[in-house]
Amino acid sequence: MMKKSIYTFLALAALSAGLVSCRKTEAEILTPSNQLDYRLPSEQFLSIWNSMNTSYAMWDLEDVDWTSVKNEYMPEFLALDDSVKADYTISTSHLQELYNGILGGLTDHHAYFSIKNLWASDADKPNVSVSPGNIEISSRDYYHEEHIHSRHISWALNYPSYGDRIGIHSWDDLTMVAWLKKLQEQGRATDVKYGSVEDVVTVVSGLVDGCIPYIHISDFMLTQLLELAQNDYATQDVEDTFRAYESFKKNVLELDDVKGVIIDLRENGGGYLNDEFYLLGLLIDKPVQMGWSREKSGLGRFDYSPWMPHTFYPGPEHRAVDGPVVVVSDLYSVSMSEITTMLVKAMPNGCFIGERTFGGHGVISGDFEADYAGTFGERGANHYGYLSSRVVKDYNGDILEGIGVIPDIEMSYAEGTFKGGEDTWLTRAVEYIRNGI
Amino acid sequence: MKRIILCLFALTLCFGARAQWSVGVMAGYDYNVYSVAKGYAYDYRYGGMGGLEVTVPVQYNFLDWLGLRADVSYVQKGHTMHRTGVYEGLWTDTRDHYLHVPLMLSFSFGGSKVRGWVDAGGYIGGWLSSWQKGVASLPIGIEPEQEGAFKYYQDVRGYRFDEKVEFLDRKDQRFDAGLTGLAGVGWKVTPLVELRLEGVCWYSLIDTASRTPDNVAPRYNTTWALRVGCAFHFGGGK
Repeated sequence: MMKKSIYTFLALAALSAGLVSCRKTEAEILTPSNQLDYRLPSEQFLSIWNSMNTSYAMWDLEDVDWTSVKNEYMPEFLALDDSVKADYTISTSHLQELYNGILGGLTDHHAYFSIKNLWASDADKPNVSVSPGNIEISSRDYYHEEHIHSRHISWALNYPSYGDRIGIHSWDDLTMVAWLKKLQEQGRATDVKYGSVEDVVTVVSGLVDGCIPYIHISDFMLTQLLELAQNDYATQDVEDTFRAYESFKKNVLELDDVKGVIIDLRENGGGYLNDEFYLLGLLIDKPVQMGWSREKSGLGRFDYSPWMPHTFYPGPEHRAVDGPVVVVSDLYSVSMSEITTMLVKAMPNGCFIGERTFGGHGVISGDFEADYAGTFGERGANHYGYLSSRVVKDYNGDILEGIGVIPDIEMSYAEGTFKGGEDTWLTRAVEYIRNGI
Repeated sequence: MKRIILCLFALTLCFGARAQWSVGVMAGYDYNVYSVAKGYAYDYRYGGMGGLEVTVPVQYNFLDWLGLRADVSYVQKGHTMHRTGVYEGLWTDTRDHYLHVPLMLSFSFGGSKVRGWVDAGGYIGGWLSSWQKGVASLPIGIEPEQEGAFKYYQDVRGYRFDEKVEFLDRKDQRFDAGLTGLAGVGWKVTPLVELRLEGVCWYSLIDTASRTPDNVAPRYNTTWALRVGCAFHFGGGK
């Protein structure tokens, strides 16, 4: 009996041994940085597709099934392969159209793709570029072109032809500078200072009515500005820009009576999270939770970390500002400027005046290996994908990626005035601080 | 279908004189081995996790050496993950709760008092719930960035969590199935009551993230358990 049972058992075990191999084995995956060499359009497409498959942090926010995209577009790229093999070129406009269809509808509004057309004719444009955020905002009913241009002031002053293109020839052409100077003439503004470090940050600051510190920054690069300012060989531009920031900080920290603060982030392109310590961190004396964030956590398409509180802390120097903290943001306020806008909205004394913002709240990691997600490829190489690695939701739990932050007081660009020292949006901010409405 | 049922019934009648039912309850310690494809995430380290297993076995013996066994088992699975290198200090422990229903052929041997057996078959089951705890990386800490900031993960940039995991329909495969096998020994203290000791293996064939199309990181559980308990015998035969 024992022999029979053992033999029968062994026979069954042998039969089921085949089932053990039913487990899928690990697919050979190259890191995105090792997928930049290819010869054919379908290989380029697959390389980008694979990199997105493992690196994109927002697949759960997308309605599109990424696998279906591969199945749908692969035949088109295989047809292009045949053209290439027959020594035909591929028009960049056709490639642009394909990649607009593949990537143009993504939710991540930080996303930007630059893809070389390796099979273009000599006369054709060499690159395809796709920016889902720019595609989406151009469809909004309040869409308008950029008009503040503060981050371009250095270029405009140094290259007059560029200044002609954007209508900026002097500091007085910046709406906030003209506004402060007009108030200064009326005796309502003091400490008006401004400066710009090319490709770093532009800062404009002033004190309105003796009790409302105002600051505009074009980018969240204060951390870098402070480092540059500590350098013994700091340029005049660095010193001027640093002085504009320091003047704001001094007014916030030392004034006996701060009725309110205005932070102007219109057309602010974002930057370092760390900058929070040097801007809003001046105005709070205890941590403020702005919302929640989560990151990619693994190579699987839907491998995420838990949601964790996205909290900002008082800076090394700070005071509690009891009066309204007003942030002024617009369609082109993106990334850290939107995070700051959300943070202000989460403050009990915060108020957002402006228009619905860009919708790019994801956090960009500077280190791919931090969560093996986000930006892939290389600038200037065969392809480059600039992506968030972390998703953010606001204090109420709403994910506003691709949507933007909604203002408490809505202002219209079309009906606004921004010339000749009039800036209706900033005037409204002062009115809110004065009257509470 | 009717014919199959009639055949099974006829078999039962044939073996009726020697057939015996048993029902038991057993519990013990299990250890889950987590097999996951981590690709180029070279600094991720995965490990197994111990847990609890509780089983209610039901067996029908056609012959004194051959029987059919079905259980209902609660199985705790899980795994650990920690990062190394500059990200050391980030970790996640995941505890998963499963229900298994195996169906096995049981081959036994030995005497009337002490018997041994080996069982083999398959199981189906379900992933009931999941819990995670650990330390994740916050996007910003409580101080301005300083050199060597990564050492601050646990104190400054570490977010400690301990929470239930919500299933994601597009990723989590909550159906489980696989192969199972066990070996055991029993001692009949009375003609009706038997004390048992078993070692069992649950070999899942289901990638727990298989609802993700083109999943490049398949992951599987293999669970080993050692359990003790007792069984109550009914009917005639040994």
